[in-house]
Amino acid sequence: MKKLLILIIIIFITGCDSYIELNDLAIINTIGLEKENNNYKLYASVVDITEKESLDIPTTSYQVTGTSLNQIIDNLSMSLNKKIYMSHLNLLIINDSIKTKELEEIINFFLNNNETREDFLVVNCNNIKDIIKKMKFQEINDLIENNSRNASETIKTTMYDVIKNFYDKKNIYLPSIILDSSISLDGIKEFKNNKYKEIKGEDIIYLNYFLNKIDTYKYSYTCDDNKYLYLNILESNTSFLTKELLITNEIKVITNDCNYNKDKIENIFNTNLKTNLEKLTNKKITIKNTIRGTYEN
Amino acid sequence: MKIKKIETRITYFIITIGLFLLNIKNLTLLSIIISNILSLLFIFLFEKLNLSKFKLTKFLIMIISFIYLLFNLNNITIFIGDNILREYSIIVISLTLLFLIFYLANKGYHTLIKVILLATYFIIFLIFISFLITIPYIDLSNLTINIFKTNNLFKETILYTFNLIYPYLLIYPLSNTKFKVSDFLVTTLFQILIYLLIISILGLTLESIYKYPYITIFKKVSLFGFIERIEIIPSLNYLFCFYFLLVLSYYQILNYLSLYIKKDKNLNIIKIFLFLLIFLVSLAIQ
Amino acid sequence: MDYIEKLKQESNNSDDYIYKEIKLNKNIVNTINIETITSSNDINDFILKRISILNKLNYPNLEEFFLNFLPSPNISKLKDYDELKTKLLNGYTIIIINKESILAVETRRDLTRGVAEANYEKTILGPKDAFIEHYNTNLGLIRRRIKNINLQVKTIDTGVYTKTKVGILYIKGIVKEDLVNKTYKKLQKINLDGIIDSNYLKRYLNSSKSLFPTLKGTERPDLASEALLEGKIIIVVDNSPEVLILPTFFIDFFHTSDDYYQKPINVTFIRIIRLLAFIIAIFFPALYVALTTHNPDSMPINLLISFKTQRMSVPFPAFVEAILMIIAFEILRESDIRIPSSMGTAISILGGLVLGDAAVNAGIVSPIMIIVVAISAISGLLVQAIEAINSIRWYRFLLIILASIFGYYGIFIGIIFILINLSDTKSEDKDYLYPFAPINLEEQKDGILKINTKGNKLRNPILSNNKVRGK
Repeated sequence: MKKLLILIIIIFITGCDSYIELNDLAIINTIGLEKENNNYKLYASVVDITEKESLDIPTTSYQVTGTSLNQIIDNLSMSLNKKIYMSHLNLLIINDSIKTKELEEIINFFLNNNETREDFLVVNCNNIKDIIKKMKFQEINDLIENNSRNASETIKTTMYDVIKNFYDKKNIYLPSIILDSSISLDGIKEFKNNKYKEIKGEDIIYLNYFLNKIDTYKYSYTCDDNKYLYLNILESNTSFLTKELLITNEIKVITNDCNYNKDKIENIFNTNLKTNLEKLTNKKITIKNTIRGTYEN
Repeated sequence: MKIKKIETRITYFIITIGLFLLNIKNLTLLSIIISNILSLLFIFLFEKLNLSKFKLTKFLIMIISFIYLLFNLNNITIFIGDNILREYSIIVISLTLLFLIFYLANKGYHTLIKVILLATYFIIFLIFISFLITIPYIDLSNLTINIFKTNNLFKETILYTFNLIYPYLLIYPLSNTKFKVSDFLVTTLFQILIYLLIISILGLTLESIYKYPYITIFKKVSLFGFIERIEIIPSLNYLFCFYFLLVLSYYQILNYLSLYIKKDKNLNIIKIFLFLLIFLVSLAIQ
Repeated sequence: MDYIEKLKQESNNSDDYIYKEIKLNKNIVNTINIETITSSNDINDFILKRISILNKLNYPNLEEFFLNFLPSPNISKLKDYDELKTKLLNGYTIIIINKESILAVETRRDLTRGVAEANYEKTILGPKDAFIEHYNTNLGLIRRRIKNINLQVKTIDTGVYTKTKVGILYIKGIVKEDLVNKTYKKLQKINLDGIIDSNYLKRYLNSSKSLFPTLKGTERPDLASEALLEGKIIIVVDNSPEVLILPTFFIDFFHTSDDYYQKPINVTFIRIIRLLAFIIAIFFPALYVALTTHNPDSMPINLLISFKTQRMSVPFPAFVEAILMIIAFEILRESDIRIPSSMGTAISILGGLVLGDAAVNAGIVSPIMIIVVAISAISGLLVQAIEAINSIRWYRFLLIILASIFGYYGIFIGIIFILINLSDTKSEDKDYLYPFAPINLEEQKDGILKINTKGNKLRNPILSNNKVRGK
């Protein structure tokens, strides 16, 4: 009897504060932030189930402005008439206008909010408005994943990495996205000393070597017309010793039209790698390779 | 029913892990190792001098339990309010938690030990699985940088030594089993392992930023594309360990009081008074 | 004393009672029997034919003759009127010689069905006979299996109007004596009007107030014999096809007799599934309610969106929906037991259609809620005893209420509450969760996992002092 009384008392005291029906939640999928004239602009892509067509997450986009991040979120909640729910945030897109001060504000916002988890991707794009209208999150995710795994020409960054690098006072690297007729990757952007700098093409691969984030990539070398040496670098590891940089590679030869032997292949590859890596560091570089595939002995 | 050795050892393990998880923000590797050594020395001293027989030690244990109860009740309600029930007022959470503690502590020591045993099957399974699941996310480069760096070694070790002595005082004088060094070493091993796991996944900077780093490492886990967001299951781990810590502290106080107050009626009045006192003081401490 | 007159007065000249008077050479022999519970063939064969022979002989001492020469194995001499009444009402034929000496001859009619197959405790392998309502047959089914002189019975007649025969069976060298004595004393204190069935005794033998059952009833003699060999006691009640096993532990509800007839590794798998089903039955609806209302961040986003679309058309909150579905399922289950089989199929189709398609299409419940409640309800039926199934129901309700108020924290409170209740129950002063809560690793080899030990496994130490099997 006593237990029942206590249970009833507790039921009436609580008032079910955090009880919320799923239909009253505005599940935000992507956020885009930029700053113009001391005002933040937020573009949000919210899950909208009336347009469900396929397995992709269906969304519609909204835009609000405000002076601080918390105010923006409140404005968004006012315009949607629902509770803003950011636990399933998948992507954050920022602009070149987000500098150190704004980045600190954003990081503090996400850290102080209990609901958010910082495992979403962060990318850089200059045309936030159009991208949020047209994009689907899965596309960008697949682009970045695929590229960073198979071509190593981009760096997958989550908010954890951004926070870590920010507080360690290191450089922050963000993949850069542009929108032509469709969404595509366009190199990475390096955030250093309050400025964004573009890095494109092969330089990214050497940067990845330096950061020890190589997955697999392909290297091609033309020896004559229509004759190629095509290598597939399967695994790579960089260890930072005190006075030198030790790089180990596992290489597989795919086409060897010029019929080079093993030493020559290794020579070509090593000289290329060394000349490019020396731009990034002063330390001595030693490279060890294991090469498999077709070559003359 | 006699309390067997294995049951006291398991309780000791659970309580120590709970205290470790509570204090993980104030620790570094050096302070863990040094505190463990110091507390082991203290426990040996305690056993040799046979201090548990004196009335003064019982009184001291009761006062320490009281202080622990107040502070940790606060900590635990904040944990629940941060991770699980985000919009609730602290009063409601601490009230329900106090009712639960009161309910179990009144049932007696044997029931308490049985409940702890039953929950242990789950906790050990969880700890084991947590190691397996988070291993793919280990990044060994996090371990090489300044792992022995400390901010304030003296303060950390003193506080943590105190925290490590407390489980011994809670459990071994009540039951008639001897203290074995192997129990203690097992807990030390687990403390070091869990700490190294957290540092190797998150890195030192992130570990100092997040309030509950043991739960943050589970936020990274994403298996097979659909097993994700599982961090709510290890938070059960947290809840169990903390809850049992509080119940044992509360039980110590009740035990001490029941030695000196013989009549049932007076005891009931004092129990209610204690309940209200703890509730109000823990709210005021905030 | 005129017994017959007194009987006629007390029974108010009831039709069943048959009085016969025979005159034999200046001796008057009266027979009394109740027609409905005695078999007239037996009376003819054993008594009346012999009496007609007596007419030709000239035996001086009739009482001695009857005691020695009536062909019945169960003749006794009675002392007074009370014993006459008890024997008469039990189906004996009373012979009164010269209104002085009273004899009772056993001529009971068999009013029960034959030994049939088990009704609700079904197994694939193993014997399939079951207890019936006849006390002697039940006892016989057990004695067939345990042919040892140490299998002993203590009987007592309980119930003022029913005088039901209750027997306590135990094996003398194995069981602890004070358990038997305590149970006997408890049975002696019963002061009810009548004991219709063995389940009436549960209230008196059951000393704990918890929701979980501490007594198990079984209708299979092989289970009863196994329990006896472990050191438990069996209570057999006349007119009841269920015998009671004391003391029962929590883990016994996850054991069936099938487990001992199959390979251990298969048995381990099935027992783990039963335990999982028990946990699912209690926690699944509460988990669903908690995750969709208070803690949606524990679900992957595709599930979240799918639930959202399904819940859009439902006018009730999740908690009300869950309770409605559970009540509907309980109504279905109860009606399934009571309905005669001739109407069964039509109504089960109706139940399925109404609850399944129509409710979803009308927009009253969401499909996911039906799935959750159906899985939880079916998993709850995996436990063998009905009492245990009914106790699961209460915990399910409690957890849904807690989950809808406190979310995931409510599930934590529910877990602790269930653990406290489980640890607090005692079955005849022995801990309910025996191999798990006071740990005994040896006994756990037959708990959830079944592990083969080399040689014979020792007996359960809290049930028996005689540890080694085979002695």
